[in-house]
Amino acid sequence: MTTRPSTWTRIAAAAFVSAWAGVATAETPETKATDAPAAAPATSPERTTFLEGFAASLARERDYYRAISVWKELRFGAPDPRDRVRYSLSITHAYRASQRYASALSASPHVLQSEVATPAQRAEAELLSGESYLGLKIPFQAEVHLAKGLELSAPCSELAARAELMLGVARAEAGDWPRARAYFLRVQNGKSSLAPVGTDFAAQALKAPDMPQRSPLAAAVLSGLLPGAGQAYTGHWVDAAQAFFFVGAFAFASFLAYSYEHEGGRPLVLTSISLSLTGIFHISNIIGAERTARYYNQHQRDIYAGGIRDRALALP
Amino acid sequence: MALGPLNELVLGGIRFYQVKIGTNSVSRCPYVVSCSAFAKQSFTELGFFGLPAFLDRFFYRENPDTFVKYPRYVMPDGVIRYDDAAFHLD
Repeated sequence: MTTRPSTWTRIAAAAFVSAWAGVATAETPETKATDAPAAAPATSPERTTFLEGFAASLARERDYYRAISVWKELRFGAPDPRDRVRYSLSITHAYRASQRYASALSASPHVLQSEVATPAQRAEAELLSGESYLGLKIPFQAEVHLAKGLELSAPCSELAARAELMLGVARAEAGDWPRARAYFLRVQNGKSSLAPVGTDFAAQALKAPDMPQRSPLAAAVLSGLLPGAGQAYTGHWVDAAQAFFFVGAFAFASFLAYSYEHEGGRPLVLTSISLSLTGIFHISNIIGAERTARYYNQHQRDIYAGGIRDRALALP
Repeated sequence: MALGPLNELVLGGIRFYQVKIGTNSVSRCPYVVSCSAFAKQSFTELGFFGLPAFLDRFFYRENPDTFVKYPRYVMPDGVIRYDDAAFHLD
């Protein structure tokens, strides 16, 4: 005779099975964290203050990437658009300071395109964009943002002085040393903390014409007289050797062809062909010497202006 | 000095190289503006004088000094190239 389980027994069995199944499929803390629906952001003012302080501390320690993560988290949870602009500006600052210029340029529009950003915040974002373009070695684009930053910043402020300094750097990169010096002198004569830097840069701009230069015309004439001489004049010794070798080899071949055809009373076909080749390679050598001198001058300017740019971008 | 129909022939040859040969062979040119692209633009802009400009690039400028004299760039595909300021000299 079989007995049917009582109601209480069935309830107990069901509870056991349910508990067992729960244990068997229990999530580990890791899976819970990823699979669970996103928790509501912690918006308590204490936590926000703590995270802001934490991000600022990370940035002071130059742990920019972690600071950016914290600011992004704060921005994600911030209900006030003015706070989101503030965090976006901090993120742009951190990208710029960590020399991730392209990322800084993608972060700054959060400030520039916001309707609630203050003029000071816009000025700062324009300045950071300009500095980022300078870091990417695009001085002409940098100038557009720096000029806007200067226009938006308060006169004689630190921000205005920094914008003028960077505008000077952009002019220096473009090879316009007189205007670069004018910007540096304005920084020097201002009352900002950047005045000593302005003095130093103005002195460097004054010395810019003393940087080594090579005359493209002289290089071309030298190579015209002796193949490779113009390249050697600009310090490109291997180019010089190759130019000398090629032109010399074709000239020698022309001489041999002429000797052969002249002695045999033949038409000077080979001589004409090899002389043409010699002429073309000689013209190449002259064009190359002129180009090399212009490249040399540009390279020297890049080194000189690049030194100023690197110092300016290293400013805190 | 324009080359007239000869210019078209030269540019056609360069195009043939770029499409049929260059893409099917190893990357040899060390410069950030490739030699074939340089030749194409030189012939287009300078006509006959594009030839000596190309010869200078190809025979004189391309040498072991390239790796010392010119700034280096890592292209998006990871290939290292050197910039001899082919078209942007002042």
